[in-house]
Amino acid sequence: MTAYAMVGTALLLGAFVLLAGLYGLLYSLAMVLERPRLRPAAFACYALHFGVMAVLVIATPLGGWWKILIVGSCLAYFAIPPITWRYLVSLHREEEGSHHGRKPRKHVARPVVSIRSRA
Amino acid sequence: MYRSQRLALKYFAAAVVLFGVMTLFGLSSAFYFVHPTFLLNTFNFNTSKILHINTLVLWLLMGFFGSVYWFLPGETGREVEGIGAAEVLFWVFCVVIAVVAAVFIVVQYGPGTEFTLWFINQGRKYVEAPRWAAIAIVVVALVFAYNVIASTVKSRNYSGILMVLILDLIPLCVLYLDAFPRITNMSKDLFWWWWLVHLWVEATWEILIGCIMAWALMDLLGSSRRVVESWLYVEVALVLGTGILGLGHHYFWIGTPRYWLGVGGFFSALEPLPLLGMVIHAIYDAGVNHMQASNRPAFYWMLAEAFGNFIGAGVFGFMMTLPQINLYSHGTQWTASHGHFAFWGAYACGVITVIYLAVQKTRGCSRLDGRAWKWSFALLNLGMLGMVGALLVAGIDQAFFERALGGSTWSAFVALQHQPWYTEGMWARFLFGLVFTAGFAVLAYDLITLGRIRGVEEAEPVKAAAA
Repeated sequence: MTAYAMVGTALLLGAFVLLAGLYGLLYSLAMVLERPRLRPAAFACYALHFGVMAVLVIATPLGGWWKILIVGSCLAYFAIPPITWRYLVSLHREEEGSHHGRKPRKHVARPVVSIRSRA
Repeated sequence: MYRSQRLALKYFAAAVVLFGVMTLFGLSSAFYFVHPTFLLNTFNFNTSKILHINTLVLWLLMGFFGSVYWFLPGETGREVEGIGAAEVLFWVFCVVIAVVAAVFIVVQYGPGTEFTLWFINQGRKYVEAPRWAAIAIVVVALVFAYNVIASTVKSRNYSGILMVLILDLIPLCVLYLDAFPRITNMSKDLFWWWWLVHLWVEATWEILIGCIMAWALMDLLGSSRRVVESWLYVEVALVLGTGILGLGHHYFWIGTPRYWLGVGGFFSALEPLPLLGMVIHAIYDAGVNHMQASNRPAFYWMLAEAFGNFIGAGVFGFMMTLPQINLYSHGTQWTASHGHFAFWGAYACGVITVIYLAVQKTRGCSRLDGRAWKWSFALLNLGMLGMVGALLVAGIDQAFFERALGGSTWSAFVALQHQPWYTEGMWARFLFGLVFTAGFAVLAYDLITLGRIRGVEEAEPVKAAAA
């Protein structure tokens, strides 16, 4: 690896995780604030994240196994915000249900509604 | 108020004092980089750095102990078992720290004899405290563990948080025993030394702060125990799953077998994943509470913890954790930038959160707000961001010129000292260190005066609120 490739690859790796974080942040804000406009912004961040992944795979001298790991991470980052969000909502919903002596409800597709109703 | 909570306040006070000492020695250490002859032969850089790093470990440890002593009586519904011994050992702990600091400042180092190991300096980075002091720290930790375990058993309250905490106390005490061996083979010595340095920080401390933040969430936001405990289990599983073998990224270049490159790189690459989950959790809680809480400083510091942890440990860590990058970046200012940011996000912000919670309860304030905490929050975080940004620039420059181009030679090291990106980066780090120091001063002022000297517009006492 050349000195320039080392710096370039490191910065791309940093951008890779940072964009995943921005995707998660905007996704969560879109849900919590009920701002549908933020969701395209979140997915735009993910698209950039995906693009950085592609550059890392195609244009950097990282070893093959590391590139596979980065592709796998990219897919995992896509799933983490929605899965975490649904898990949190279902946890809170079950807790609400048990407080009111009701049978816990199953997960629903629109978790933000529960936050609204709590407010 | 329980005696345990009064003890917690003493621990918090000591933690804040040590936080200040750490900041001052950090500032002086930063100044040596821009003015290398500063206090030459009077108070050398290595001593300043030792004091900076050791007080970092100690103020956080005291903050953790204080946090547990603060929440434990509420959790068990009774006074902490063996609180008398804990009270005595708090003062022992303080005396040990003062004596060790005095020895470091005045004596600094000695000949390579047993006497030096026992009474002056063990010479192992981050655990320089002489053996007698290290034994005293183990005794303090063991009594702390006894306090938690005995109180839990007596109360018969085997809550999830307490059980996780008790399991965590075993490695917390056992791993510190790694501070004692004198192994002459450097590879073997570093192999075990990293068990203390990494596993303490990225395993036991992570779980400890997880338990503390679980209590803080219930206290601050009224989150239900079931929700908090469920999330704690998930976080602990993910953090341990990635953090334990993430230890391998320290084994890349110390003479360990080649397979550590794969193991360390793989698990380190997974480490940011649970941190992203924590960010989502923080936003969820913030959204549910509409960014409002009765204790706004604690709430904002709690949010800062999630974001700081993700960026400091996740982003800055991933940049340099894969072996092909780490070959050039390890041990440079780049590592220092990651270390500063990760410690700040993962632990310091969490301890400050609990201190504000304790301030609210002890000063009888129904809600905490004001201007001072905002200034300290802004200055501390701006100072930290500036420092880690400057160190990142200087570190990349160092990895580029000194390591990758210069081949880590002595002449490359000397040449680096004239590289403008490096020298200006170190100046910027010092200047942002001043900003951070100002933030600490405002934080200390706020913690001392909030709800005590300043009026209701700053902190609203219960009586005023009730009226």
